[in-house]
Amino acid sequence: MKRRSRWFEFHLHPAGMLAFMIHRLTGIGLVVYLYLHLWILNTLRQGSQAWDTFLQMMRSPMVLLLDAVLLFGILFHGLNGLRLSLVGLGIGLRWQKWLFWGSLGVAVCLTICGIWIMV
Amino acid sequence: MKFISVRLHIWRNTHWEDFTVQVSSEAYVLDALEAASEQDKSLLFRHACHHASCGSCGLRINGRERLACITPVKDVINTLGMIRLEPLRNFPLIGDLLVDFKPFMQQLDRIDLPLRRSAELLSKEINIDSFKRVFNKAALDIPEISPGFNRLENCIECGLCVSACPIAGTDILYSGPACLAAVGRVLSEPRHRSVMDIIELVDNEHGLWRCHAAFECSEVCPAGVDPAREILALRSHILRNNFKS
Repeated sequence: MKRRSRWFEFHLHPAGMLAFMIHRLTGIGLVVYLYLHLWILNTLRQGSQAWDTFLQMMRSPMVLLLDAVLLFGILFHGLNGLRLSLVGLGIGLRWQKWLFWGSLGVAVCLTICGIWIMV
Repeated sequence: MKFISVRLHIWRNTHWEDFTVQVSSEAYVLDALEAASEQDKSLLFRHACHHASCGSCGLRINGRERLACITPVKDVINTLGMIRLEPLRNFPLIGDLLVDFKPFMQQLDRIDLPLRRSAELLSKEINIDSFKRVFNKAALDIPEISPGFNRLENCIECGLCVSACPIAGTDILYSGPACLAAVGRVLSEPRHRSVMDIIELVDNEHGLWRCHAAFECSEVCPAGVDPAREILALRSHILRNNFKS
């Protein structure tokens, strides 16, 4: 029999689905980035000119925007991962919602700082 | 009595269908649904007690898991006079708003959570001896009420937690919040049963360790049970035991 299932659904309250959704999306994004990163490093094998061309491309505003998304992904995934590890061990269960919003807030603030430094 | 017009926007297997019904302003969603079924007898949905005891009428009402029998129409009707009704997620769909609970119930059966009324055990005035006499269970070793004792035995097996759980939406083999929490409850009071068999049911990648602590199960539970807390407590318990051994 068919099942109706979905893990991607936006609602702020309760925030559990949102936390799960962002964590999963950033996780998938980071795995994709890992392979992209290895592919980019491969350009080093093509000589210094190829690498310089690549670095020139990396300075474009679109790539900087992607860098900001990457930075947010790393920060949120790491911080929320810490939250999940703690509540998974029964620590901070009472504050788990605040820990999520805190992780999101810190990730957003540090991403803004990162953008400011990059620009 | 004041009557209002409600447009029920109902999922019917492959498409959405609207039913406009007149119900009392004090009516519940289940009343409106029953009025809609008068218009089309083929509309499939489940209900029984009308007072949140049986857990039969769980639905997704405007995108959130609720019991139709205790959800007032006035609380969920939007400005256009519409309420959106869908079947629970993560269950095999029989048709319209009706889902198959058989796999869910079979899992709970395997865990064999003893069913007791909260009044029998939560009250400080409980008389354990009379309980044993009445239920003829002399061998039962019912402990004193522990500080961590929650209302899990009040689970009405409505399946809302399974529907709300994002993990159940990604892993068809996942045990689900109700089942995992039941295991936690049994472990806290094993009554001379071997708990290893029960732990083995959930100590795997599709069981206890699959939970990602989204806490949606506890948010939607209509009976005040807190499955997420029980699951995480069970995880700590098993981790501690594994380290010790």
